[in-house]
Amino acid sequence: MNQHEITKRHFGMTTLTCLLLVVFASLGLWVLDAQVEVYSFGSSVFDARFFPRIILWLIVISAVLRLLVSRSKQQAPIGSPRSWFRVFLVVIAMILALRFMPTIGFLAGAFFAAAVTALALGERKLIFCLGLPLMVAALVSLGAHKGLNIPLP
Amino acid sequence: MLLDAFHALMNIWVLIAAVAGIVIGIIIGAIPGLGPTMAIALLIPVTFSMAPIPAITLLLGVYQGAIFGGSISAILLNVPGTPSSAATAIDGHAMARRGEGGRALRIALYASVAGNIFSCLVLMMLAQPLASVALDFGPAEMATLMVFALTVIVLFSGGVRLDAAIMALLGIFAGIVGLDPIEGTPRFTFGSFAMENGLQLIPVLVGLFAMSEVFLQLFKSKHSDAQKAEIPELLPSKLGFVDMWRMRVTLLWSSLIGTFVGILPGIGSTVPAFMSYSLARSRSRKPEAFGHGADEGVAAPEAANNAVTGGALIPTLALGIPGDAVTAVILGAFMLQGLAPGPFLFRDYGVEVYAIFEALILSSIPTILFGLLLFKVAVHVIRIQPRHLFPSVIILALLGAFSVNNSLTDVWVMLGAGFVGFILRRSGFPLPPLLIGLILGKPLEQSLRQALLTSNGSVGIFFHSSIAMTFIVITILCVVASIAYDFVKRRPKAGSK
Repeated sequence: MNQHEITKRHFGMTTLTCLLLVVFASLGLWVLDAQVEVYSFGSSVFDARFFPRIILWLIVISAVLRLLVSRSKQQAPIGSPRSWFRVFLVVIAMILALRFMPTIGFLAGAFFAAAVTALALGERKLIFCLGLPLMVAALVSLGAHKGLNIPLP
Repeated sequence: MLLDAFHALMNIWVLIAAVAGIVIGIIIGAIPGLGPTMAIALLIPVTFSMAPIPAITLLLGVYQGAIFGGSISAILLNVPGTPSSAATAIDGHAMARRGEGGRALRIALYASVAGNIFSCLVLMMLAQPLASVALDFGPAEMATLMVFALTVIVLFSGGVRLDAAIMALLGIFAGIVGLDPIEGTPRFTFGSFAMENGLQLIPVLVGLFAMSEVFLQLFKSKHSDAQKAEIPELLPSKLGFVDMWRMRVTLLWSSLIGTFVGILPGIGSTVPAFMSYSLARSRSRKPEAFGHGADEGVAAPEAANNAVTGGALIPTLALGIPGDAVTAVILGAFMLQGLAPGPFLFRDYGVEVYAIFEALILSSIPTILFGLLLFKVAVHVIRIQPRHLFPSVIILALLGAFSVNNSLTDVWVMLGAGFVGFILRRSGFPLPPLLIGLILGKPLEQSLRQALLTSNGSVGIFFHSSIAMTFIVITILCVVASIAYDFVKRRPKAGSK
């Protein structure tokens, strides 16, 4: 996190993350009771739900505490939509690359993800935007196939 | 055993691995934003087809090289390649500004090697006895030991303790996804057969350290510091053995601090680097020279942050409890090679482990040779722009995650871990406690439940064992010491009002 970005505000990245943690930990507690089956071996207290339940409750409690503390502390801003757009562009590119990797292969999928990343990072020269990702993807695929015997998709 | 280990080292592949690791490490470490953790995580797939000794030697060479590489950009650009190089930058960059960058880099290199050799010797002396003691540990002792380690990480890793606690808990939760270790019940797998093995360490590591860095770079402005910064001219300079000998006491103290702080889980190499810097300044006859380009101001932090390597490996190898993020990655590499860290490692794979220790000491020679050769090359490497570098990191991350089990599920896990890591880093949450929690999550649950099941649910099992009681007392003392330290730190402020 860039120190220059830290400003005093009531809703920043820390608040957002703590809220997400509370929501997901609460969902985890619900899933634990709804979906995790329990078989009794001796003492029924220390079953498969025992440890995750403690951890999830501790996450909820500590995230709520952090939310209360962060109200009066400095925290990083959420950031500009433009910055988030660049991140989500690459996330979506990677999701697409992974989704279609079994069909198009590792080389094409990795090249696509890397080329979109280069574009999102501001690269406009064709040699760096398409040429370099293609060369690296080809070298990595070749090395993995021939050198490391990894059966890439 | 030491002789057998030395014989095992007499293999050309070990030498090639050590040299390759050091060269790659120096280059990667010199690039701001690419630390040793990311470098090792991305290189793990390369070691799959290698024998354990060259594989681990390669990765430890990367670690050694990257720590020195980090000081290159710290000295020349005032941009630390690794967080632990921040202390080196204070005097190193001041020297570089007056044209003594070459001298500063040589001091950093020799001090790094001195710190590394010292800590490796301590590692060889302490790791096996510690592992032998740990052979007597039962579930109750292991559970209290892991709780102690996690408490130390939360209390003393720096930053907001509540944040570190949240991260450790999140890591523990991620560690227990998959089959329950006692009953075999699937938990949080959502019907996926692939998820029954839990979240694999390497894809999560690659995601947390490599992918999250790519997302952070995407989020930041497009102009990097390397583009703006002017690299000072490297004038010819000399550094003799006598100059280093004059700093022997500083090097020894710094190595001691680095090694023994490194043994404590979660503290990492930044704290000992600054501790050594402060000690060197307070012991110096010319403390006013510190901050303006003092030789000892470069030597002290460099010896300390390299000495952390051996120190952090002691609990990692002897107890299976990683000291920091880098050793957590190295622990993952040991596991992938079939060398499970913990009390049985020295009994079952003593020759391999001692060969790795000896390789770590002997690789000081290529570190000096290639360090001297490469720092002029590294000057050009640090100019590489993120937009040219990070697309390649994405390709290596995809390969690294896939190659662990030849499974695309792991690549999805890597992507998810990368996005979570990005959000957490943007929020200022520390990642090392999460990583160590991830590694300790499942064994902690297993030990805790085994202990409670064997005692029919009585928590007395933790108080009847003297070893477990010792860990409980030390844990409580750590909490009390931490609260007392906070209290003492705040008192003058309250008084001044």
